[in-house]
Amino acid sequence: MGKTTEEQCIHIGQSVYPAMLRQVRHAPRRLYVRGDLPEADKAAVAIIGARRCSSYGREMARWFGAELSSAGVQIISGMAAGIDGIAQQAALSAGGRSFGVLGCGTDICYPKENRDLYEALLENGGILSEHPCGTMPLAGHFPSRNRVISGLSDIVLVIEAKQRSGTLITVDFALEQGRDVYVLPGRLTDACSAGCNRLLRQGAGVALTPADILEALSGMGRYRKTDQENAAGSRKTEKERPRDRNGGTWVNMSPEEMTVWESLGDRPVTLQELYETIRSARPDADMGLPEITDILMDFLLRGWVSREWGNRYERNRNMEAAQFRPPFSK
Amino acid sequence: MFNTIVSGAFCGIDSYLVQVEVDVSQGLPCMEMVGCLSREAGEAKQRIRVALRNIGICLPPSRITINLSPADRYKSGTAFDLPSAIGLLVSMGLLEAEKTKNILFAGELGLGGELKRVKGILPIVRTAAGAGIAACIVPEENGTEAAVIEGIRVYGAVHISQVVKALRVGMEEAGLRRIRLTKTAEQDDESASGEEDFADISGQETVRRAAEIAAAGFHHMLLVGPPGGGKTMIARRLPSILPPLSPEESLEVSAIYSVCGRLEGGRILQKRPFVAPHHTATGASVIGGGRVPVPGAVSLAHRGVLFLDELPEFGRSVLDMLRQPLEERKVRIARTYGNIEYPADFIMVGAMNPCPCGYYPGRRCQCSQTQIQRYLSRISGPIRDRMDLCVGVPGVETEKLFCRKRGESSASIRRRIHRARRMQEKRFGSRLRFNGEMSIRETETYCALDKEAEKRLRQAAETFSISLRGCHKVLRTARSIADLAGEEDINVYHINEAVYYRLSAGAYWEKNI
Repeated sequence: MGKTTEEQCIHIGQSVYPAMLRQVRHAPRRLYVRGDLPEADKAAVAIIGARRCSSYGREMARWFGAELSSAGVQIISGMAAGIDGIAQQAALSAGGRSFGVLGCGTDICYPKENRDLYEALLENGGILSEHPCGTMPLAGHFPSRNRVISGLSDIVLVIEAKQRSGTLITVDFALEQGRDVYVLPGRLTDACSAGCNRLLRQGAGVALTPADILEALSGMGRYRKTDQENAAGSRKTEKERPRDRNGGTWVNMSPEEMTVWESLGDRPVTLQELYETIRSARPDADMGLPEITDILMDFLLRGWVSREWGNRYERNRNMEAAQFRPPFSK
Repeated sequence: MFNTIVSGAFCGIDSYLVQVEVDVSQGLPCMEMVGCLSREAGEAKQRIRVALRNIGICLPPSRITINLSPADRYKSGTAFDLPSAIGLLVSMGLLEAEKTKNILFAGELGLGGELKRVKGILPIVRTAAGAGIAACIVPEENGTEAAVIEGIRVYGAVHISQVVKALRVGMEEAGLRRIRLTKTAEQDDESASGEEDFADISGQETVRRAAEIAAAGFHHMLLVGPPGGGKTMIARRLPSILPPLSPEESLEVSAIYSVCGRLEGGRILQKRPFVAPHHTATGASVIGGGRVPVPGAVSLAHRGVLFLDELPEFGRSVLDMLRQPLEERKVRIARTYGNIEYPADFIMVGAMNPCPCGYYPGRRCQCSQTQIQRYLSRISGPIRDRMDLCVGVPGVETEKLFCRKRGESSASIRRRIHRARRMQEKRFGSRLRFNGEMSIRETETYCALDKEAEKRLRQAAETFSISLRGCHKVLRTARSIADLAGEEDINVYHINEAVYYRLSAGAYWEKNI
């Protein structure tokens, strides 16, 4: 930890100053760094998105973060709550490197909840800021921080953004700086994806799998993979992709369990909503609330169902990652 | 001439007998009251002098000393007016000392000589009966509450002249009514059917279920939901499905209300109390306190429901003061002259919104993540950890608003709860105990699990990192769920449901789930 906790101040004139950032208009004259700087010869992708995100956004941020970083891409983001932090955490867990750009001094962990991530970033990446030690996280610092995020990256990937989101500021900077913007499509009715879908209409790149991003990077000459890696990478990507729930046949489920499973929608529901759905869909089924609760808990413990904020439940999207076997077989 | 009359005083909800010693002797005319008295107790001498004059008895120009023994215990209240006046009359030779033996007197005097109700009659008379006192004379307004005590004759008087006459010619001859407890049909009706009924609530099955479990086993419950979902409505209906107060419980609760002077019409409580302090309540009003301590809301809710609406709006210090009563089911108030213990065994029902505006995670919510976290963090972890059941109360959709379907009635739910209650009575014997109150050792004895259920609990504890205390809470809740189903053994099915309600609490506070 000895070297990582020391803060270095890098002037724009120094050779170690990231070349990509130097070309950017209004590049910060001084960059304060704890840990390392992003490596210039490796590709860097910014994964950004809303702080208040849906479970879909969380799942996707994890997937893209882990996949890209295990392909050797450096993940840049703002260490914020929500998408930013989740993507960076996933990148580090996958054994990759990630860099957090803060809107405060590098000695301040903001938001505080991300203390674990902050420590991990110091170990396997770095914390960067244009503000000296002790600068407080003021609201005014964040928009300008975003230009550093996009400036350090080859590609900006937007996971989730609302209609009016700070994420869109980063996108504006990215376009101004000539960076490619890739966007994850969402559902039309989903407020968390409204900004994303608008960006797509405006012509942003479509990110359907991490492989799309890798391909774009290799098109830019920023990423090269051997054929073997290529094959392994795409197969892995294919396997890890969240499974289509209609993709298999069901096994080993009692009729009651089947009813509960079918009533769990794509949207997280509370037990009350689940109960009402079952009662209206199957008024003849002799299923009381205790029975439904029992089956739901069973699913949760098996990892078939995941829990959302506010005690809402939905089918686990990434069943491959779950601890237990999924309830279907090919 | 010197003489002693028996009266009583209370400290906390315990009481002790007080000897009122009156001496009338030669000396400069004056009247003194001693014995560590509060201001209102010391002022008795003015009331006694005027009241006696107004019934035609003038005090002699002598030195009158009244001592309340034990003289080192601080005494407050106005119950010593009547015994002091009677003692004075005996000392003046107007009454025979023999006639006042073995009788306890208590009551406040008006200037016209009328007797007024006083606080704490119930515990005082109970102590007197325990000490072998044969009869007591109390203000008629306090008569009914005193009459519940067996083994002592209770006479109710409205005026001091009545008491004087009774001591001269005999109780019945003076028209002093002996008060006997008659359980009227009206009281029965009242306890059976409250005006609030669960049938008023349509839908909300999950909350009803949680309320049923809470009522069956005395478990604490937290309701979270948007405004207007019916959190308050459900909490207010909880007493209507609680098992009725047993006579012993009724005495316990009534004693608390008696020392507060809050027994309505002097009758003892037949219904479980429901106490809902406003969120601006101070610590002392919730826990109990004051220079002369009085019971707080937690004690007034003893054996009933303490409902804290808008939980995060309560002062954080006030909420954290609840930790001790939630754990020990009593409150200990320390004063320089000693500790006072009030019982505080209640079901705590908390109600709150998920965020400051109340609508998160719905689209109407305008709060930022930080605001929500700050709002939720007003409820400390230890308080959250003590909640056995947590349940979301969803907002009611407009289409259901006009649905005339009524829910299951309280009477029908009460039948299931009676069964669960009977099972608990059998288990714990005669003690006034519910599943929620089991100690750790009892939990291990009575909540034995089969292999499968144990495996499930262990798996749940590992997956959701439930603490040891959490596991015990799950076991107690599972016990109540099994009791509701009328089953002796706890199986996987009960564990699953108990874990669900336990986990629900975390669902609002966990960071990334």
